[in-house]
Amino acid sequence: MSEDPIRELFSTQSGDSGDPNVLIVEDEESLRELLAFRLESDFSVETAADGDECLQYLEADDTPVPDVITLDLMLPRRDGYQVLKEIRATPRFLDIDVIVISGLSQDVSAMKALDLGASDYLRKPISARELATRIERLV
Amino acid sequence: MSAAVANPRLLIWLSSITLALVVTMVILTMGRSVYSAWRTRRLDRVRASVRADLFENLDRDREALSEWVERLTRSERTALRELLGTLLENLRGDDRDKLGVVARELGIPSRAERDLESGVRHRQLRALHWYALLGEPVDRDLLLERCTGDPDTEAAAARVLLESDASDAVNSATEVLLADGNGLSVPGMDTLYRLHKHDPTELIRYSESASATWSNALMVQVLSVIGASDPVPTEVSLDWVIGCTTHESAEVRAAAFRALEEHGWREDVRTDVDWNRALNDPVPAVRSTVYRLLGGWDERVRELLIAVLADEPDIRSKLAGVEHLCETGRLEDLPTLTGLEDVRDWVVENRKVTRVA
Repeated sequence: MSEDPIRELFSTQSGDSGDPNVLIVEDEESLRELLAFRLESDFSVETAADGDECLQYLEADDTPVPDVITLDLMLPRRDGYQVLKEIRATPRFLDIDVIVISGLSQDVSAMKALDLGASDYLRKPISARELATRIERLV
Repeated sequence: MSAAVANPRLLIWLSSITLALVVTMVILTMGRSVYSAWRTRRLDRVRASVRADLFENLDRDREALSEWVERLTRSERTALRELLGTLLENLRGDDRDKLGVVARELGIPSRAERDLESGVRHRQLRALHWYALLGEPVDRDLLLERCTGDPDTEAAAARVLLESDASDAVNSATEVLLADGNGLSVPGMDTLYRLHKHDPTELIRYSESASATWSNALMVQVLSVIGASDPVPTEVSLDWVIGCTTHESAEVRAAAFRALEEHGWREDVRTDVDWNRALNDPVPAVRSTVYRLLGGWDERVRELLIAVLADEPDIRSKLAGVEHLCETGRLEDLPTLTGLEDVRDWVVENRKVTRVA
C-alpha cells in the first residue's frame, strides 16, 4: 500500500495492468463507483470526488497520468470548467483527453466545454457502455 | 429572587435544580450526537455494502436478483432504494434496465401506487418521482382523481404522463394540469409549454371548452404558453384567444394580445379583434402590448400607430410603442413623426448605447 497520503485519496479500482488509464471525476459516489465498476474490465480506473482531488491526483508524482479523464461539470469546490481550464493550461497535461459529462441540458454548456478543450461531451443520463466506447475511440 | 436571597436553603435548592437540568441537557445532547454519529457510520457501512452487493448481482438473472433482494434487511432495503433513485436519475441503457428490474423486485412500483392513493402530498410526489424514474405505465384516471389541487403534484403528474408512451399523453397531461382551474407552478407551466410548444392547437381547443371556470392567473399562464409556442395552422380557430382580448381582467387582455403577436398575418386576427377598443384600453400596460403587436404590421398600420402614439397620454406606453416601432428598424426613415420626435430620438440613442454595451 502506498504511504503517500495524496495517493491514498484515490480509490484504485485496478492495478497496473497496461490498460489505458482513466480517471473518473464525479461527486455522486454511487454513480462514480458504478462507472468505475463498469470500466475496470477494459481500463485501469482511478476515481476522484471533486475538482480539487482531480488536480491533486494529476499533480502527484507517483500517480500515472491518465489517458482519459471523465469530468463531471457540477462539482463541489471547483467546478468542471475550472478543472478543464487548469488541465489545458498545463503543458504536460495537454495530451490527456477529457470527456465532459453534464446534467446541464443547455447547448451552451456543451459549447463552452468543447471551447475550453474538452475532447467529447456527454449529457446525463449516461450509458456506461457508451462511455466505454467513447473512451476506446479516444485511446 | 429576593425570597431566595433571604432564604439560603431555597437558594441552594434552586441552584441544585438548575445544575441538574444543565447536566441533564448536556448528557442528552452528547448522547444524541453520539447516537447520530453511530447511526451515520452504520448507514454509510450499510450503503457501501449494499452498493457492492448490487454491482455484484446486477448482471445476474432475475431469479438470483430476487433471492438477493429477499434476503435484505429493512435498513439495507432503505439504502438500496436511495441508491436506485440516484443511479436511475443518472444512467440510461442496459444498466438502467437492470436497475429497473431490481426496483421492481424491491416492490417500488406497488409502494408508489400506495403512496399515490394516500392523498398525502409528499408521498404522492415521491410516488410520481418513482413513476418517472421507472417509466412505469400510469393510470390516467387515477392521476386525474388523485393529483389535482396542488400545483406541484399536478406538474409532477403531468411530467410523468409527458414522459410516458401513452397515445393520449398530451391531452391527459394537459387535463391534469388545467382541470382544477387554479394557477400553475413554475414546473407546471414549463411542462405545459413542453407539451404544446410545437403546436398549441390542442391547448387552444381544450381552453375553449374548459376556461369558463379558470382563475385569471391560469388564463394568463395558458395564453403565455400559446404566445411562446409556434403559431397554429391557419385552419385552427383563434376565437378563444381573440375573445380574451376583451376579458374583464387587464392581465388577461394583455396576455391575449401577446399571444396574438405571431399571428398578425391572419385575416381573422386583423378583422375580428376590436382594434378601436384595444387602442383605447383604459390600462396603459394593455395598450403597450397592443402597440407591440401592431408595430410589426404593415406600413399603413404603422402610420396609424404613429398617429395614435402621438396622443398617448401615458409616457411609458408611448415609449414602449416607439421602441416596438424602432425594432423593425424603419422608424428613422419615416418622414413625419409629429409629437414623437423626442421619444424617437431617445429610443434611437438608447439603442446605440445598448448595442455598444
